Amino acid sequence: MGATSNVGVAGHGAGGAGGGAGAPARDESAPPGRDRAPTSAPRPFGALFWTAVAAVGVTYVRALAFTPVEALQGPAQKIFYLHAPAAFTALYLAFALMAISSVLYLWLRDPKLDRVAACSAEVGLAFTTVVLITGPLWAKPVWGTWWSGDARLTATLFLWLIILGYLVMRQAVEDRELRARYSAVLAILAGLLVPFIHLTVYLFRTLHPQPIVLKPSAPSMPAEMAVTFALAFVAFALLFVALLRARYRLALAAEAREEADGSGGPN
Amino acid sequence: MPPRDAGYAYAAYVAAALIYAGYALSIWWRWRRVARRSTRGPGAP
Amino acid sequence: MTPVREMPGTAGAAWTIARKDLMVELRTRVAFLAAAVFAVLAAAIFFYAWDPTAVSALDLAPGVLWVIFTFSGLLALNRSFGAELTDRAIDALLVAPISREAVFLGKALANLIFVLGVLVVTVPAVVLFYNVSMSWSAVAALAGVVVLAAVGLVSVGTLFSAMAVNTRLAELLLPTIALPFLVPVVTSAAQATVLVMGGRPGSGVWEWIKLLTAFDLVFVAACTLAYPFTIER
Repeated sequence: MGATSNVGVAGHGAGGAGGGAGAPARDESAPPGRDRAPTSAPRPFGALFWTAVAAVGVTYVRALAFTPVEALQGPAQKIFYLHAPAAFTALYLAFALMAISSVLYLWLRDPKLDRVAACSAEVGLAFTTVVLITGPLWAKPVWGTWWSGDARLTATLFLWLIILGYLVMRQAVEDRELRARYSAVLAILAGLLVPFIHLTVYLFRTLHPQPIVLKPSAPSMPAEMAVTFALAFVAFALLFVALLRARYRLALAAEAREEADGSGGPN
Repeated sequence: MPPRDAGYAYAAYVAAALIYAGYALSIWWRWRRVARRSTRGPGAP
Repeated sequence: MTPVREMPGTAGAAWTIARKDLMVELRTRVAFLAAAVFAVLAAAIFFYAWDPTAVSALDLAPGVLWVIFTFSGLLALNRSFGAELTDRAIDALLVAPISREAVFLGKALANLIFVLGVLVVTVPAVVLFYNVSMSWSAVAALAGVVVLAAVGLVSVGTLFSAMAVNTRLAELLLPTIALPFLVPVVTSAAQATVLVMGGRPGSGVWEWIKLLTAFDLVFVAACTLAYPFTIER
């Protein structure tokens, strides 16, 4: 297999928006049609992505303009239409998919499963980042402090660090098969770790004197808010699927390129 | 007394949009770089 | 049994590997001295960065102890599989007619004894610097917490050390992937230490010790089972 690809992983693998060092920035002078013609790899963004963008757009408009302001928390409560779906998606879609496909990888040894795990980790990092930014933006006006040590938010911070470590490790292993095995092991252990982190932060809070805070639970929500919430969950889940598919296609293209110029490459 | 300041909510909505859009752009940007390089054949810098 | 060299059982093989690692360490003493000196130095630095009029010793000492534990532990673990890279010594271990689980348990056992050795230096250093007075029962409770925490650190640390040495980042990677896993260990150990050192053990300590024990059971088993997957077949 592609064990001897020495090209480095600058464009491939993780790294979020920053990307890698890799090739020097090239200007956009090449005629656009030439770019993609010979690659059989499908383009990353299709109808699914634009549907997701539209759904998120509708969610934004409905949440900001057509959903009533909550009496107790004021406008800040609207942050939950972003925060809760992002948290749900990060933990129960991205992280769960990462752990499950890792278990399956060690069993079936199908490179597809490793790719799914890696891609959902990276997309999950984006959603976790949103959770970590919107959480304090809600806590500041409502609780009066940016970071209150709230159990769920603290657990999310550690989840974010775990995913980051996973992606850093993927960058550091060049052999594809070894990388897949190491990543699967790390992801499975991370799956076992999450309940312990939740227990730890929960115990830490219950055994410590803490200020009594407003719990963001809403048992009896007006119908208008509930509809916005449901819409937001669907829209962001759709966005996750679309981004995951795009990232998967990027991984396919990067692997195809790596194989194409693997042996004769520089370095 | 409920906080009346909507600035935090708008900041959160803008920040989330920037993160999602930035991530999508990073996928697009990386894909283009990969696609362009593969047209130049093996050994391209 | 006749003196014919049979295939050793898992426990026997693990002990042989652990003894080999400890023997090397006993003859060189490089890593242990480095870790012990680091621990005492760190305790001294924390001491001189401390304003006793602002923070009481009992509030600070447990945190200092477990921060030093974390970093001296990582220092010790880095060396564990790094040593096996020289002349590909790990290959000899892996072709030996013993199970991979035994290799892992042996390495982990050696690391556990090493980390406990460093803690034997660290705990008295912190107790002396911060002038903590403890009853004998508190000392016994603290010793129990120390052993449980060391088992937790060593189980994940040994596995990640085995993986990290084969990556391009080598020892730089270990803290990145291991530290999130140490959050439950260090938090429980530090919180239990706060209660024990303050002389108010009670049910709170048991909650933390239960969490530590559960972590140890789950991760010793999981890491032992996962180790063979990190080895090339």
